Amino acid sequence: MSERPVIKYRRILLQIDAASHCRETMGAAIDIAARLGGELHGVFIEDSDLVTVSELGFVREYRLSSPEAHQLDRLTIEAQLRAMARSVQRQLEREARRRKIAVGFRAVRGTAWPTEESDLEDADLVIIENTGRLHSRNFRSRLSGRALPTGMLRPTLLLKGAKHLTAEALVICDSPVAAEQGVRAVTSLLPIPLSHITLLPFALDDAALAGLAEFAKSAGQPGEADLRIMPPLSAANGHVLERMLARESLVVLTSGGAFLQDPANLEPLLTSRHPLLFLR
Amino acid sequence: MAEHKALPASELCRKYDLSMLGFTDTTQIEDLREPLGQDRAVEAIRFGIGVRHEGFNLFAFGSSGAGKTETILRYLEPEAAAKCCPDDWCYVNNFAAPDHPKMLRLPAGRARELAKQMESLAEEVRVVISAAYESEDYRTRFDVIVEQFKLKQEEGFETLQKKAGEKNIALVRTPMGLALAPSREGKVLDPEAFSKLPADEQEQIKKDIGELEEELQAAVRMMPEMEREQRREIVRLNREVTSFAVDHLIDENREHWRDCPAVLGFLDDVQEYVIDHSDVFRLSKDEAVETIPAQMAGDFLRQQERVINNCQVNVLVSHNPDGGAPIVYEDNPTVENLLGRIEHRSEFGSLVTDFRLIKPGALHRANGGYLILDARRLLMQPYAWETLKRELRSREVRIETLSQMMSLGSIVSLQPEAIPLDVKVILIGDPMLYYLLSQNDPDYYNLFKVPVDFEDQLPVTDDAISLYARFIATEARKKSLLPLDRSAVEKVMERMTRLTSDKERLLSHARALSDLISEADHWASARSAAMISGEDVQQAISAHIRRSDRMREKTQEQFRRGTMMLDTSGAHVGQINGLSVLQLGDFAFGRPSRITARVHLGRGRVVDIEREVELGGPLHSKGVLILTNFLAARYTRDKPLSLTASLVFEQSYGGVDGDSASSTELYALLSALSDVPIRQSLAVTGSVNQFGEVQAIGGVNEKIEGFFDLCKYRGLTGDQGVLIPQSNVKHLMLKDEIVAAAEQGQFHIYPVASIDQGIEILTGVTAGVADEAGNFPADSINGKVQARLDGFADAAVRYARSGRDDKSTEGADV
Repeated sequence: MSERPVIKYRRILLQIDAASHCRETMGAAIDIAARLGGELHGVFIEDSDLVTVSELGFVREYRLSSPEAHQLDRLTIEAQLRAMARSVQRQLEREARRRKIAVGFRAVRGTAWPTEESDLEDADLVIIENTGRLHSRNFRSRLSGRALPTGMLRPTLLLKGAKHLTAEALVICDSPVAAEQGVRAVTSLLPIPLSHITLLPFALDDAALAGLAEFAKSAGQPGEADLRIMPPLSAANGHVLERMLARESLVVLTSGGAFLQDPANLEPLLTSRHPLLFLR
Repeated sequence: MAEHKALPASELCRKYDLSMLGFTDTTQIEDLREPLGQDRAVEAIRFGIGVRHEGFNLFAFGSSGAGKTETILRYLEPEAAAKCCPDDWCYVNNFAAPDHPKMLRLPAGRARELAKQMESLAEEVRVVISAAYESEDYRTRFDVIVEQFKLKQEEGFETLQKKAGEKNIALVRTPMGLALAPSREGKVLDPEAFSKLPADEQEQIKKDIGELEEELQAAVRMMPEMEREQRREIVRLNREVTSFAVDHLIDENREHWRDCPAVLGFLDDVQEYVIDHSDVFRLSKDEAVETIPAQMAGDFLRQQERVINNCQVNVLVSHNPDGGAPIVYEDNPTVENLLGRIEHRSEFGSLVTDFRLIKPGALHRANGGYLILDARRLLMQPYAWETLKRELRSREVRIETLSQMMSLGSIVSLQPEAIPLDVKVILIGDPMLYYLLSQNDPDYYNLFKVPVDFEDQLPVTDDAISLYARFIATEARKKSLLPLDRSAVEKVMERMTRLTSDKERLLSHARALSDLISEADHWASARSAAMISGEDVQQAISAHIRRSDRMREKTQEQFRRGTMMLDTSGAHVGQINGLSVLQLGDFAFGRPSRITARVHLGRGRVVDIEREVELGGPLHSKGVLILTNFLAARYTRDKPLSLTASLVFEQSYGGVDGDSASSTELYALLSALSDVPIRQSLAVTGSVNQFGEVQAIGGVNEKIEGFFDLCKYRGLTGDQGVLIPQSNVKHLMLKDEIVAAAEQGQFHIYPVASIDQGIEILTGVTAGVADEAGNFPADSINGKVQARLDGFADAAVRYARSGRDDKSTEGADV
């Protein structure tokens, strides 16, 4: 049997903004870059909305470390954003030196969510961090299942709540291609053995299910355990979380398929604790 | 003139005949069970080690090598073995005040058991706590707490966000906090758009924002409190989980130590401490190294080690439960060796310590038993004597360094809890130290109430001879030496008597005996004999003397070569042979000296030339002053003593002390005054009192032997001999060749009781007895001395008158 095909993620883009900056996310990104032998590019997004808000003149900021309200003006917000960018850069460079990987860094002003091709340049993988909840540090008001699938221009890893990546993965298979692509992406990105990868068929017909079963058997190397396959979900029932066995598991989704066509399927996953990997 | 007989040869030395004891060698003699001649000391030892009252410590004193330590141990060991074994002592961490470690008292032998249990307990605790934190149950519960609090926080924000959304206001995350801004369709209004809104709408938005800000501020203010509450919840969870994991481990130990309340208390403290510090066990060593940066991992592991170590037990003293009371001999009684010490280790350039670095001292080890110390070494160590007294007075051992005692230095150290002290101290030293301490230290009698005075001689009796033979046999066996045949035993006893310088005493000094028979064993072994004989003993004695007598030979050589002038034949007026003893190390020998006297008219003074040039000691001066008074009182009752006499040790260039030459000097004076020559074939020793009685002196054997050796070299004439005080006859233990010479009439020892006896032997002229008027016969020595002194007195009177007449004439002339 031929060797398992590996996806080359050479250029990894770590996107950080005022809401998502945290050490663990950076650590996870560096781990992946070190594992793949790729370059890591940190992009600090100076959210243009924040500048807009500061220009209103009457908005006050309630800091998490201070009981007092502070008048928010443009100068203050600019200074805060720059200081934060420098801090992120320092941390990124320090960690990269330690792990001996190449890094780049830049700060750009724009929206917190990349929707334009130009924003992503030639990135092979985008890493962003969001809890999906209104928790203080990770609160991102405009991230929603409605906006996300359409915004995925590159494979995107969405980390949650500053957690390490888990040793389990669940690939939502709304097509045989999604299964194959998902398994390939997981084994390329993370040190997860096939025995810890589960395939969840979604809205597949019998022929596709049979093909999936065949794929599950043939995916591994000789002596390696088969992929696990869960009972299939129908198109009417996208409650993936009910099927999740592991407490935390990387969920792999492919855009353009049946699953992401219904935003209601994605919403619970976004607000869950599970990290998500979006593939195209 | 009365006949003066020399002593018979049998009087010159004691020869032992042990045939009546019925043994041929020491294998036939049984061991001596009790120390020889130490009845008083043994009685004191028995009393001292038996009495348990405070202050009844012992000071054993006697000459060095007398066997003090051995004798004490002989009685101490059975007594100690019969006593209960004292408790074990440990130090454990004081969790409330780590600078003051707590002591722990345990039944004998159980301290090490506890230490071992605590070691394995700590390791188990490390594992079970780490496992507890790893468990799925813990993680779930932890996440529940975290999620609960997140939800609580989010609830507040979500409510606020919802409320704000209804009023077209967005909650915006800023780099440092949160803010509220007007929005339309999920997008924040820019200033231009906002300004285009109607004025009343703008006002309404601002008003709404103002109202919402109050709620936002309340929500933000709640966050620190909620985070604190979350931490408290997590601590509670950690305590619960670790307590569940640790409790049963500690309970197992608790059950084992149910009979030791102190240990139960300690286990309670450990349990509380471990649970309070369970965080440090969250990661195993390997995990820490793998998952966190090296420096943090180092700190983390050090914290783990610190917590583990703080739960350990430092066993200070542990005893064998069947071992009885301890007997400790501290060879180097410094303050630290007595009290124990607190060691430090270097950690990142600074010195740190903890309760595990407390080391026991001799007082800890001997607590509940006996501590034997060498008094001289104790007193030579700075502050050791004062420290020992303080601990005995306070009856507790408090570990302090010298610098702490003297308030020097400021190194961080510990103040361990004091340990109750119940010890019997036995000091061993020489008599000088005992008398100095007892006289000069006011605390001494409060703390050392039992003197143990070791005797080094015993009187020669039939019983003593029998016991001494057993003593020799015992020592030989103890040292694994060849057995001694009877002649060797006799020779050894002869030597031991000689060492006492007393024919009626035997030396009970163990080391001297042991050294002699060890040397004899060497010579016997050298000739492959199966037994030590009298010849071996004699060879040992001769070899011992030979090794030490270089100076004696040099002295003898000076006489032989004529450098030192001394006659051993002929007769001279005012010249006599005196005898002195030189002690060099452990060897003493006699040396003859020429003493001369000159007399002339003067003011009644005997000039001691040695004293004038400060070569004479006070005892020598005392002897000379006695002579002056003797002369005045005996010969010039009603006239002034009008002579000046000078006395000198010829060719003496070192100091002279002692009064043993005072009779000799008196004989020289009498010869000079009477103008009767003294036989130079004789030498004299003995002191004299104011009545002319000759008194005992020391070193009589060495003195006689010194003169004999010279005479022997020059050839024994049969006329030579030594005058000794009558009272020294019992001290004679002369060497065999003198005894043989005396037996053959070649050398004579004359015992003398008075000056008159002595002068008759020395001059061959009658001394003379005074009549009722106090006048001596004219042809006697005393008569001639009296006549000479009378002549001096008359001459002095004439001289005085002539001087006055001259002055009168001179006055008349004027």
